[in-house]
Amino acid sequence: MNKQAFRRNVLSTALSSALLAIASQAIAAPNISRLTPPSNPLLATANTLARFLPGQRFDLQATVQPEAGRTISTVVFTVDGNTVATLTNDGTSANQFSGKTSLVKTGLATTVATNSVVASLRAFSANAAGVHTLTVTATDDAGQSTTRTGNFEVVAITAANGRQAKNVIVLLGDGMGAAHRTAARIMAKGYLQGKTQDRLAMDTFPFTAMVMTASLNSIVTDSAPGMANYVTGNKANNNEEGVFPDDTTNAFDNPRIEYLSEYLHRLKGTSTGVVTTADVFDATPAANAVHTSNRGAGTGIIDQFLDERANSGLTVLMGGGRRWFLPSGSVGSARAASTDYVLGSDITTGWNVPAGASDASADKLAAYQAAGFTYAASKSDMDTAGTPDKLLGLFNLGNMNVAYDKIGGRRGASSVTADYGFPDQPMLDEMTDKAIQVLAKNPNGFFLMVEGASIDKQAHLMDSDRWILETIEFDKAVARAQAFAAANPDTVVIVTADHECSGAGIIGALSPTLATHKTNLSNGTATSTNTVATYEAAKFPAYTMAADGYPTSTEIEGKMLIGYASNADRYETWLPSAYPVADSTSLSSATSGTVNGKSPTTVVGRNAPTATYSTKGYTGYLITGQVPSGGSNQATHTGSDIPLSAFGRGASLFSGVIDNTDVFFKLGQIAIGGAK
Amino acid sequence: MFKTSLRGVVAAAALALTGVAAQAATYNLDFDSVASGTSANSYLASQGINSFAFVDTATVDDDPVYDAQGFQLNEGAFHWVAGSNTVMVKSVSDFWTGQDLSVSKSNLLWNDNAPIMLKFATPTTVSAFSIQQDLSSYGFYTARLSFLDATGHVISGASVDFDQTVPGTTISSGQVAGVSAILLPAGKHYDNLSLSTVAAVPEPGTWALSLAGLALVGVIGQRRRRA
Repeated sequence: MNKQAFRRNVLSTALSSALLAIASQAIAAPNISRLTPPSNPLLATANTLARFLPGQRFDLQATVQPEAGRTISTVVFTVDGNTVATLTNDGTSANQFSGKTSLVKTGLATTVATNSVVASLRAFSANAAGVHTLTVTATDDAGQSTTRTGNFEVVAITAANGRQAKNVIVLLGDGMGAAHRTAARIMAKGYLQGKTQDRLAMDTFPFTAMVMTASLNSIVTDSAPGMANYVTGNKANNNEEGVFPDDTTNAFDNPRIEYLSEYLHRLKGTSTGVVTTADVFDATPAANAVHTSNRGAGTGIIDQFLDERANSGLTVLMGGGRRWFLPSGSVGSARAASTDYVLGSDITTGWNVPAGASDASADKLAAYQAAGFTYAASKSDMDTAGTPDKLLGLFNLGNMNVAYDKIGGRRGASSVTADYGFPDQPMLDEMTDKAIQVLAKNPNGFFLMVEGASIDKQAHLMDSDRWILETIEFDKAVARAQAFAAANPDTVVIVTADHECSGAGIIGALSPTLATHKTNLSNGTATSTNTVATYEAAKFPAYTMAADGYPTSTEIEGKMLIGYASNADRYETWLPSAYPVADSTSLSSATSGTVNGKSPTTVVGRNAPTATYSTKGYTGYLITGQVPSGGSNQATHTGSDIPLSAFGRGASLFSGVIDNTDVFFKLGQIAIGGAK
Repeated sequence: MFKTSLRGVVAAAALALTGVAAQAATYNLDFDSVASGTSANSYLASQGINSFAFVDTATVDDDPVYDAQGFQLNEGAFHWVAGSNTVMVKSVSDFWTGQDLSVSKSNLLWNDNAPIMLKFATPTTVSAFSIQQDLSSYGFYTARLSFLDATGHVISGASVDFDQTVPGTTISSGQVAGVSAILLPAGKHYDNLSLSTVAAVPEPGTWALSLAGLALVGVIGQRRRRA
């Protein structure tokens, strides 16, 4: 190339680059990177992603990112062509709040561009059934606009379609897949010649569906969306409950979706009960009345249960979790400003809720009692409370102890509950009975969620005997709800799970005698080959049930063995352990000292199931896992469908293979429009 | 909301032409003249009314209907029958503390949040019907009041959709023939009932025409402020 040609080329390239730059600047426009409720991004004709019941409230939101050097001037929301909100940037850096709207400019995720805004309209609703078009138009300071269109659907309720369910009871066995139910049946009812000798209460429910459990962002959900999807009708991201994802760092300002408890309370004046064997801040209980993108924000979660009770109708709250109610600094307290919240005025105006306060040092036991809740700290308290108007039961600092250890304590055969400092904890069926008695005082009916939490927690730890007993305990709660529904036919009861946990499978039974097996363990010669009896060699494990409804022992000849598809590496003895694995989530954050004569921060029990997890009195043999061990060596949730069983008013609607969000619309039909 | 049809007008005219000796009756009920806790039918007796009664509701599946290939056609269909509870007259003061459930601040019609049937002794031509829902803020956007035939099915076209969330709304209908029951949907308590009937019953052969005689149904929104 000669010099002239070179100069011509350089000039040409420079000119075209400049033109390109001008052109790209001329077409530069804001990027609406997120539109909420989420629409199906793949195919315009695909099923709408976000669905709501008529009048159900939810927030509209858009994240708008400007080109470099530009700012956003206005954001306009329209639904079906009608403008529902116009937000104008005042040009300052402060977040703007006006009525039900907000324009948030600070505290945004680092993934969005400088000068981005998150625009919201709170507590929107639509009554007309059908697909609605949501359009957001954003304009920057150069007058350049972008429009993004999404949609959502309002699902009709058929009016006068039979009697309404006055009461809705959702019993959720956390992590309870088909294998968990089967294992509980084998242990509690026994099989002979191929037939079970009796049925679990949940087996007697006349209608059953299989439920797809995926969350908004994974085929494998955690418990937060696992529960929320059932009671909002919409998919949530993992770790988030009652909200859609957003681009702010504030865990309590996400776009909200009205819960079934809130919807029914607003439309029918129902009361709400939340009963769990977990810490009450845990994902499943919170995903019925608390809106947050951080399932771990315990202080704020406990506060919102109380602060927003006028919306949720919260009347009964029972489980563990006293640590969140004690003033920070007091022994056993886990309250901290870092997990608390103060809401913006867009939310308080839109949803008609208090702003909350950063009040880690507040005594929430006193606050709940001042709000009319009778407080029970033990089973005895609960029994003597009679039938109060409102009931708060907190039977442990963290998660409640599990059935295996509570029953052991009642039989005088175990010191675990006493060692934890809480020897007088109720069983889940006893809590369920009490909750129903309190809730049934409301002539308008109630919504009750009962969670068998440690089916999941013990399956994570692959402590087979403990999660099987936990499932048996859960089934006794099912029986109590079923009895109520039988006596009060305007009640619908569903038994379900948020997801499967651990990939549990009933693989067979213990092959050698217990004595031989223990010798093999001691000698280090135990292997799968000489331990696990499969097929006909497994026969029918026969447990002896005590009068209290639980096996006299789970260490029997030919005991049932459970395998795990989503296990981390573990050392397995197949034998029950006198002590549970200490739950690292429940007490470690508590302020040290002594409660009930025990230190809440001292780990009681055996170690977490790391490579040294070889107790149960013997050294187990290594079973290589399929999931990363991480720090906890726990089994994980799986994406398998789970069974749902239904009883009572409208139960026949629950059949086939359904999405977890479908359950919400079925319950809405049954409770509002009626069912035969 | 308003359902009129030429057929309906023709039917009404046909009904008039049959020369039925119509003894019009009108009832206005405020439920206030008896003590709270009285059964609704005792109240009716105290008013000298025996042409209809208030009864609880239940549903019964319809007998299946099969097509030529033997596949069931009407899965999910049902009809309304009487339930077992006793419909009551109750005072607002008997309700849950803090609830303001009454239009008149005194008695209202109560069935523990379940639907109520106003069931006629014999099929009746209703010339006008209205009833007021209570003042609570609870309710759904499209509740449905229906007129039922002798089989417990909704008479075609004879229903009124109304918004339960508008306090104090009066739900009204025009003429409907062949009514065996009026179904008051659940979710509200009721007060200030007004019913006008044509007492005589046409021959069965005229039912088909009369069924379509729904001339006018509607809702009159009467917003009343809480005292």
